[in-house]
Amino acid sequence: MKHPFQKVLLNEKGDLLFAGAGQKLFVFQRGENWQLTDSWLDTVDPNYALIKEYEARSRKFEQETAAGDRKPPKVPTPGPGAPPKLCYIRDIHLSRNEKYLILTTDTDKAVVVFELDGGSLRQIKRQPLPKRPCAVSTSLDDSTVVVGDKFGDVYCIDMLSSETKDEKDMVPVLGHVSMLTGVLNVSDGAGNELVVTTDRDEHIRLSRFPQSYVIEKWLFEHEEFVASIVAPRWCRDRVLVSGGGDPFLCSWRWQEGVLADKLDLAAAVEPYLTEEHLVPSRFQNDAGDLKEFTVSQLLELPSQNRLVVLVDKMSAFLVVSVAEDGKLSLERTVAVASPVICGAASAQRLVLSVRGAENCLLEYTLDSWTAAELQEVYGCNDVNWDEKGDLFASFSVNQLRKRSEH
Amino acid sequence: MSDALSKRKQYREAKEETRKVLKHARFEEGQEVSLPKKRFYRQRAHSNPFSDHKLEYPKSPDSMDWSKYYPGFVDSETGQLDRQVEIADIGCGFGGLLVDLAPHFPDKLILGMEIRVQVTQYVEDRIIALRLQHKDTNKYQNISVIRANAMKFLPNFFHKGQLSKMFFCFPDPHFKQRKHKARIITTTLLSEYAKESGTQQR
Ligand SMILES: C[S@@+](CC[C@H](N)C(=O)[O-])C[C@H]1O[C@@H](n2cnc3c(N)ncnc32)[C@H](O)[C@@H]1O
Repeated sequence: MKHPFQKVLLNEKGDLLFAGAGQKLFVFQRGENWQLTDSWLDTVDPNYALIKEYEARSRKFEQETAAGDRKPPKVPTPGPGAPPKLCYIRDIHLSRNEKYLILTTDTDKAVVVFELDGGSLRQIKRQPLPKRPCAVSTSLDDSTVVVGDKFGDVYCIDMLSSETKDEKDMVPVLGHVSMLTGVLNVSDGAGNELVVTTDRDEHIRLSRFPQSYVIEKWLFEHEEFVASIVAPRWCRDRVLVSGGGDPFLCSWRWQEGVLADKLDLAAAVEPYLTEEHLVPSRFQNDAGDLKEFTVSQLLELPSQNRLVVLVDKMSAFLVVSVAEDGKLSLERTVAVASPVICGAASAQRLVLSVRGAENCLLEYTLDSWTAAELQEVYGCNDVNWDEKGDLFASFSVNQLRKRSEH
Repeated sequence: MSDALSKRKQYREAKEETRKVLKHARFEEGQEVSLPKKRFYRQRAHSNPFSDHKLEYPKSPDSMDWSKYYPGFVDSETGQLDRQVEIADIGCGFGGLLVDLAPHFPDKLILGMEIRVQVTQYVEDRIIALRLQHKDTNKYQNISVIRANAMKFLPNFFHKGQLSKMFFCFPDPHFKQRKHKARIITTTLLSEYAKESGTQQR
């Protein structure tokens, strides 16, 4: 089967579409129609980490052979029972000025920066990190990529120079002791920059930037992991909206550090929950009907002052308006033909990648909320997936939920 | 199960009963509890600070109910504590420092935080026994312990600048480079400690 797009992104105007399928990125430009203008394949060996370790040991061995007749290190191979390594382009991100495209890779756990020229890409740098990158932002002046990793550390990477550092020499600028799920640079409207970091332990932290060792505030309300956080631009630097493993969205007047509103989504979502939303058996109730859902993505629709709320594995999405003071209201629920994997929005467009055998990319008209299939885009996707196992499960955000047992 | 193991288990179960009743209580007349024996509470030295332990922690400092931890300092009119926790011993182990500090700061609330369950239970039982033994003088009402992963959840417990003193005594060294992130003192965590202790840059 074709590998679906696990990540899509639109530029602000909505005439550039970036779509990642497995280890390949496609760039489409909109004229009359969508046209494929460039693509990029991550060719780094998925066993990058093993190979690197082997090389280091070999080097050490050669330096020390005089010390005795020890055996040379073995070429590492993954064990026979090891599952096939799933390597993806995890994140696709545009700089604020939309001149640079930033990807994160699984293979070498790198941040890859491209310069964009119309619809074509020119690679500037590829910076491997010590741990898997999970969340990306850029500084307000677009000079720095700010990236958070799976072990809670945040690094700054110079976006414009092609120079890279040895990953061992990278020093974090701030750290949580939890997987980072979001990084977002914001302005307070008075000339100060802050960086917002969210994690798997319900935390939302606001730190100064670049003096990120100074914590300004914590925003407490979530009881489960935070998966997505946005600063709706029509709220002019005052509001953040966050969602994740909780059945509600939070909006924050973050400068005062207060919760502005909380929107319960359970009733709207309930009719669309399926067997896939059942809580795993070990944590089930006696009736076996306990379900849970996760807000996987919040997409801004700036032309409408609304957010599109995507829910993990759900065949529908929600439209929520956000007032300037942070007041949230649910406007509508739109059913989709199959479960949504991810989405992207721009001033005038909403594009969703959904599960299915073919034509799994949909574009919605924002007023009528009707969908059209983007066949010309999906047709260009030449990435196949023939491995065993549940591919869609590996994109599930719900797996971040904590299941503590001890 | 070996004999020694089951004996330890039995001992701890018996103590657990007492703890349930007495942990948050003011004491009645005529009760007596012996000091716990450390050897029944041994646990392997390291608990991974990254794992998702089954921990109880407040959603925010405002939602923390401290009254159960310091029943001797509850204002009888409001039912609330009449002061805030001000001294923390992070990774307090078996609580030796807490017990020693208690008489030195009789009017300050001191909290031990410890990630290992059985070690925490030992400290709880120790405090219960000490409080009981000194119920006439109300000593040891100012110390308490909580099972917590301080590296993850300290901000959930304390407001900015709430702590006047934080102790980190003999933290686990984690020598291997790969394990440095498990250290309780790291440059990145110092920002949190600075915030809670009110020593961060303005
Ligand atoms: C070497 S012992 C020192 C105990 C005590 N402070 C003393 O001086 O005897 C370190 C203690 O820190 C605890 N610890 C380690 N990481 C912790 C964490 N993240 N939160 C709370 N306690 C932790 C360990 O369980 C251990 O009991």
